[in-house]
Amino acid sequence: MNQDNRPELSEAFLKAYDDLGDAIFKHCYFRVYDREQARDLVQECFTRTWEQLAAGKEIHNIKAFLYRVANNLVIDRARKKKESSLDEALEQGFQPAGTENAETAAEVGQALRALERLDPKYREAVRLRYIDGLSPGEIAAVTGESENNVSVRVHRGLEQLRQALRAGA
Amino acid sequence: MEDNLDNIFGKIGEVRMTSGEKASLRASLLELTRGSEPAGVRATEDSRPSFYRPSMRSLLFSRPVFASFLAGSLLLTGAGVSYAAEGSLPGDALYPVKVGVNEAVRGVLAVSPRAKAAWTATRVERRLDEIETLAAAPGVASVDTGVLQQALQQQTREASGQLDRLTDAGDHTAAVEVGTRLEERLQKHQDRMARLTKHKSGKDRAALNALTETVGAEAEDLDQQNGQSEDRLAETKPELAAPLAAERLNAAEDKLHQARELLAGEDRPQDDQRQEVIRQDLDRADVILDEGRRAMKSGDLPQALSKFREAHRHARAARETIESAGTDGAEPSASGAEGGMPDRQPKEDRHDGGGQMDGGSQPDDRETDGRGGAGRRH
Repeated sequence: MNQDNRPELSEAFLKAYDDLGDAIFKHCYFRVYDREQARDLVQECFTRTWEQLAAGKEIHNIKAFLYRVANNLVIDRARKKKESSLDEALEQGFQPAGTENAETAAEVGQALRALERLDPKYREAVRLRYIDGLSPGEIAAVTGESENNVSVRVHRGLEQLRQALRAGA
Repeated sequence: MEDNLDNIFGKIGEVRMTSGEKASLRASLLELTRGSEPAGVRATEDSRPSFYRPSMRSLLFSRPVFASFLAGSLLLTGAGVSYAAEGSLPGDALYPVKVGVNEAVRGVLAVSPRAKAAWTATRVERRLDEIETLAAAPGVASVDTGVLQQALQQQTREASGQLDRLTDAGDHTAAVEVGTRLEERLQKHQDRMARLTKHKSGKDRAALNALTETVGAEAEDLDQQNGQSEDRLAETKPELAAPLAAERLNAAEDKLHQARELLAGEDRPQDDQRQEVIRQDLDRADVILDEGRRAMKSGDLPQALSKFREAHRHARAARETIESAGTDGAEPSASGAEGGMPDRQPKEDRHDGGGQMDGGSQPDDRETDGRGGAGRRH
């Protein structure tokens, strides 16, 4: 994407929102555990991306760019405010869609808690792979790691998660 | 359970925005792209989503159509209508279901004083969401915003009443928590509206100004009330007041930094009078911040909290003045006054409230991918 043709740029940008808005929302939601804040982050993420485009920045991989902006915003937010506690969110009724069944909700809560306790580099790799649904190549584009490194982290992270769940069962 | 991970990830992977949330954000982004484009390439009015079109809106807003549609829908589809109504806006056929049925049910379900206060705050936030969605689309003047204005006023006061009840019951922590959340949202709303209103003209602009004035008045009252709640928290639970004061200090420093950064990057001309007002606000914020730091150091937490809120107000006022450059005389405000210097001087002599933490991310120049660079922030 670049600013050579503004109407087309605007159209492509809005299409990116249509295609990726929910994905970025989910990405933020499972980091802040709050709908309102996640929605604000999505708005800020797309607003900043547009500002970059309007200022003439060329973006070759809009998906990776959006995830990077969203990541930076989540990090900024965590630095300035007390990070949302998953336990607190779960106590206050945090319940993702599809987990209305009590047993499923308990399992999801347990899995998220275990995920939160992983080493940050493995946690992020597992989140990006299995919650955000990105391929190792896409994760590499977001994080700047090599695809091989990403695959190793995802594998190890998943193993650690399984072990943690086995130990907690 | 570890073997069930795929299923669990699949379940949580279903999280998404509601259709109303997604449409609202899209409308804001559409407006943003129009605002950044040169004249002549703006999208035509026909490109807006169909539910914003005044003709449809005015048709559905007539009471007889409302009533019959509502009654029929409820009988036929009950829960489905209730769900669909969640994304509706004033003027939409399902809007009465949203406010008269869905919200009434949620209000009844909130039993404890804390839950009641949280719900009344959420209800105000829903009104603010609606205003922002309407503001982002063309044709807001064709909607009866007076109803929304009245509801907003009444519901903010109900929220304020619930906060009073929490305070009376001695639950100062909850009063501060819920009050701060609502105050932050009101502030964020004002920032967003300032940005959205810039691109409006005529009746649309006047309608939005009227709504913004209402929000501003309610925000000031809430600011004062929150200041009192914080004082009581500081008196009764100093162990909680210390981190709160640190948070307020950060928020005020951030706001001041934002205002300075905005001023440095501002290329619109600021006349002498405006520059003087900005300078006074920034200087005052600096002085008051220092007073607050000293109070904090000496353990006078109520005084520190009060000072940080006051400094935050000055920094915010400076920022608003900077942002209002270029809008002078563009359109008369809703009150009939000509555009010009904003009437946003902080109240200096009242009991202090003030510095809400700004949930927005701070501009930052470290990276180009969204963290820094020039551009509007909110």
